[in-house]
Amino acid sequence: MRFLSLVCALPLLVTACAWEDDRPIVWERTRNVLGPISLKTQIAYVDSALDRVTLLDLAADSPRITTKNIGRNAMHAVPSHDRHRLFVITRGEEAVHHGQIDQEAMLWSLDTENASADPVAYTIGSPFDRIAVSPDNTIAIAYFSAAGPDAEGFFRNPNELAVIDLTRPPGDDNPTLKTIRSFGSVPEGIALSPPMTVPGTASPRTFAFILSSNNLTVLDVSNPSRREISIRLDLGGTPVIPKEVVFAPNTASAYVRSDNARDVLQVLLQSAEPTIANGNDYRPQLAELGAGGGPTDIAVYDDVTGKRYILAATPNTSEIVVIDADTAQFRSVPVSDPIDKIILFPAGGDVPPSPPHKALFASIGAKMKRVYVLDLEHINDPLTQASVRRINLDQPIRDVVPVPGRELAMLVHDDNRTVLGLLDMGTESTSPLLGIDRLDSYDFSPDGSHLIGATPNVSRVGFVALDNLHPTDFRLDDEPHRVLSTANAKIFVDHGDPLGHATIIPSPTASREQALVLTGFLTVNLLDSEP
Amino acid sequence: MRALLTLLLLASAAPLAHAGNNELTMGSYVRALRSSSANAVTTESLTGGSLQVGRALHLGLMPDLEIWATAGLDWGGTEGTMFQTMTTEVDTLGLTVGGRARYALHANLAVSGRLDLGTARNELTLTGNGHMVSDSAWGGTLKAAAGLDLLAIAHPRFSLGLRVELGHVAATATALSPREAGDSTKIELDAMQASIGHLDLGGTYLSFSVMSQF
Repeated sequence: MRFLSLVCALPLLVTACAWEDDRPIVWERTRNVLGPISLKTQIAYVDSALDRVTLLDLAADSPRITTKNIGRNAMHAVPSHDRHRLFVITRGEEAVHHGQIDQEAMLWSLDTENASADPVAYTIGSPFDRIAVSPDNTIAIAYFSAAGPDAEGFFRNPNELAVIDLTRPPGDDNPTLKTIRSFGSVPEGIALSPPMTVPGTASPRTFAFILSSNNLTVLDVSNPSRREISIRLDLGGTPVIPKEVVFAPNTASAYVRSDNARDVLQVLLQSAEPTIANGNDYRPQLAELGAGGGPTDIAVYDDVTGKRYILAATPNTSEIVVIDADTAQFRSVPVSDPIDKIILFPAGGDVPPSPPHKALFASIGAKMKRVYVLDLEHINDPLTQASVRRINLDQPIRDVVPVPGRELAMLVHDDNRTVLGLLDMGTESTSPLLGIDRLDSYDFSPDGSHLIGATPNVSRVGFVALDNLHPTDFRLDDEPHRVLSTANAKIFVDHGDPLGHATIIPSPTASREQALVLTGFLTVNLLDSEP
Repeated sequence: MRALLTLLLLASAAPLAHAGNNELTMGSYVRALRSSSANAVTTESLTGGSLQVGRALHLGLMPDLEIWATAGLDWGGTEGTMFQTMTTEVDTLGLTVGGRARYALHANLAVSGRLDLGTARNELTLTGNGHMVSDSAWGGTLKAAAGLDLLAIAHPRFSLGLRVELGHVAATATALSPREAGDSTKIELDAMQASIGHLDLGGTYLSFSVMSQF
């Protein structure tokens, strides 16, 4: 009997041991998918649970899916200005439970054009949640958003920055952690300059302009160990909040527009002898340019001779101010409306745009029923009288969006984006566009030939040929969530599925037979990945 | 436990006897899923039922050793969650053929060993954010088990009892590409599914069956 009991008990014991099952904690994590993020010919998604970036390459007829592993808990991702690279901040992890690892916060740089290139990880130490990248992709700065650090951790320093030299591999001196001087405010944004040569110094370098309430901080990020220079903006009254920075690299200067400021602030960088070892070899010279009325928007452009101009709208003085960035000379053009948006034409596009020759001025906040056009071609000629032309609209304007590479602008007439118009800057005439529902997601084809729109309630993608305003639509099998246009003119319709579900339309004129539905790309090879 | 002891006591009083040439077993099993792919989709074990038929081969290799040819059908399923929000469902249907060596220790007690080859259709369904995708595929299986037969009724031409089996299923990982069910009434766009990878449902199992020989 004892033998029989043993015979019965032994299998149960063995079975009980075999039933012990340690599931990797990766499958229990909270999953947040960042994206879709439009790159050159690729679409990127960042998965915070699987710790990977999924790239869909739409360059060929058939989409190619690749994944690149990154660190734990991705929290923020931005593409580079040229959309060739993707930068991701991962929060890292503490090894509290079995299966977790100790990993610091990192910034990951992914070369999406090179499939064989491994992501480069820079240990940034703190869980920053914003990234600023220089236009030439050589410098990145990770910093905290205005919301500040998250609840984890003990001490927090909202004025800390990590300056990363993207041209060098990670090391003890890369990134450089800095804490900028604070006068009670925290950074609300960072603008990185293109390479600028300060007159009297050796080589071009990148400067960071750190925007915070009542303060503008200038940091030589090509030499991040040097001290920053702080510029107080307030006069003791209403807080002055810097909002926009445009750069004039030829003259090593920047123009800053601030809310509640009297003027556009010119920051001209000039050489100076360092007063201490490893001190700054430059100093900013400040000038308030003659806007004189609290600018609400600024725009910058170079004319055919390469001369840089700043346009500023100053509703308080009912003027538009055209500033020569090199000489700070300006001229004013009277406009009665409270202009708060300036758009230059032609704008954007994939080919290098020709110098803008017209500017459009709109009053979005005041919801005015008119816009203004200013010719820029002879704006610097003192013998010509600069004046704006008024274009009357049927309805108040809520937003205006330039069509890339074209002299067209889409006018939005209501908050729901159901009533639209197209403004032809050549003829300065408008045409109405009627949609069946609100335009929740839209994009323009890279050559500006088509407006592409979608709304989640309607299983269609709408196209408007912008040459003749001919509307067509493409029936989808599922409701769209977001629509994107890639640099090779393919249309990517994301359906908002956490498993990955998208429709790829080869061109705005493609038929349904040419389109492809791609599913499961966000879980590709998920079961084969050993956590 | 008391019932088991009673069964064994009854069995100890009976002489060794020949069973019939046919066998039918029906029962349930629980299989521990321990592959990394199965761990991805569920923390639970696979549970299901099985039906098996057998035929004695009378090879006469040694006294009290019976060799049986067997064929079986088993089915099972389990559920789970991924990333706290995505629900998973795994279903399997298996067909096997094989053999069993059974040695009668007593008229009411026998031990057996089993080796089966077969195939299984594995289906994975994922549901998240209102979307449901699924896919299924066939893969091979190899099943080995040791069993204990406890017979409550042991007559020369009919026996009825309980079979407890502990074994292991080795399964080939099946490649799956889950997709959403289409609307057959509409002409749909060409579709391409990315593979989710390979699902391996192999693992150690324990089964309880009612068996009868006749």
